[in-house]
Amino acid sequence: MNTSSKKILVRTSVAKDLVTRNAATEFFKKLKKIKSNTVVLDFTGVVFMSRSFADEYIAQKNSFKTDINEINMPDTVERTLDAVSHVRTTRIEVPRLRAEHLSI
Amino acid sequence: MVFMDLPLLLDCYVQFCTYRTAYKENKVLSLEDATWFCPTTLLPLGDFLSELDKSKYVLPKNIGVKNYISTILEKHVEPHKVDDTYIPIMKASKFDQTHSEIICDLISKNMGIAEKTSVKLAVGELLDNVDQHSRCTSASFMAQRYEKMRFVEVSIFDNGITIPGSFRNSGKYGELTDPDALKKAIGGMSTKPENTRGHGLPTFISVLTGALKGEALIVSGEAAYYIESNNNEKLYKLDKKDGLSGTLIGMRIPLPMKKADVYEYIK
Repeated sequence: MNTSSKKILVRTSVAKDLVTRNAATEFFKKLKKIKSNTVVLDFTGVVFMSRSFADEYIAQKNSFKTDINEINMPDTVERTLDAVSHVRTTRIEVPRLRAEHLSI
Repeated sequence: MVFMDLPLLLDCYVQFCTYRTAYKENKVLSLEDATWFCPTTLLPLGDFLSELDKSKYVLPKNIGVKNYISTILEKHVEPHKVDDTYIPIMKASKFDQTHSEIICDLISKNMGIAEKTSVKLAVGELLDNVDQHSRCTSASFMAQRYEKMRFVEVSIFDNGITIPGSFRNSGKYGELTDPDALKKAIGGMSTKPENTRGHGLPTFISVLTGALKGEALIVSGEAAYYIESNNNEKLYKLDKKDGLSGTLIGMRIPLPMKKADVYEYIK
């Protein structure tokens, strides 16, 4: 049985501030090329993850066929991922606002 | 022109419109006597001036303000000087992950921003929106700390297809007025097919007004939206002459920044 695993440093592969949804998409494109049973994502040095990056990360991870093991995830990133995973399918209320005419 | 009952952030946009109207009437724009521009005026003004021949405007006499204007007229600007009071203008053909990281890094290092994660969570959604939706050819960012007035102002401008334009292009919602499209964007409706999308602007507003107790202005096409921390919000239909070919977002965060569990404000 092949039990290989490959460790990826997220900071080196993406950035220390993970901001755009496209960056998450591109990151998983790279991961899909790895021939391994498990991918270990090492978050050492990462300081921030945006809501958009987190949402795409969760979506990509859910459809990823290889096991992902996350290590050294900072509290800020873990809490963002946790918050986004709880609210990402929640509907938001459209404000009941009527537009005022403004002529400058 | 000053509208007494308008929020000050919206008045910054009014100031830009007043200059633009003056140019259209006089065929030349004099900024000679300008002594101060806030970021929310400066970014769209810079974009407007960049379309004009140099002979059509007169730069301010004030050296500092003149330098501001000259900087933003350049096509690409990397932040050249950093200090505790401002993040200088950054301008690029688009904002992607690389630009976003530079801006996040500046937020981390400068301006004495205490609540870095909160500010990045707010600003990050705007940067991603520029990357995902705007189809712009020019985007700019600037932040300024006003110590005496006790706030930080952050502004982002892109000259893209606008939020209403993006909604119309998607074909998902039929014919929409600009204010209705902006209202949908603020309310979490998305131009994308996935049902998890559309949370960027609501998260920006929630983090800014809830965690940071700030206020925000969004101007896009012929619509504007303003909200403050007590959730007092207003939606405006702008005259065509007062609209914007792009999207401008200005925010003011009071100092000292409030400590809050920002993750509760993620939408």
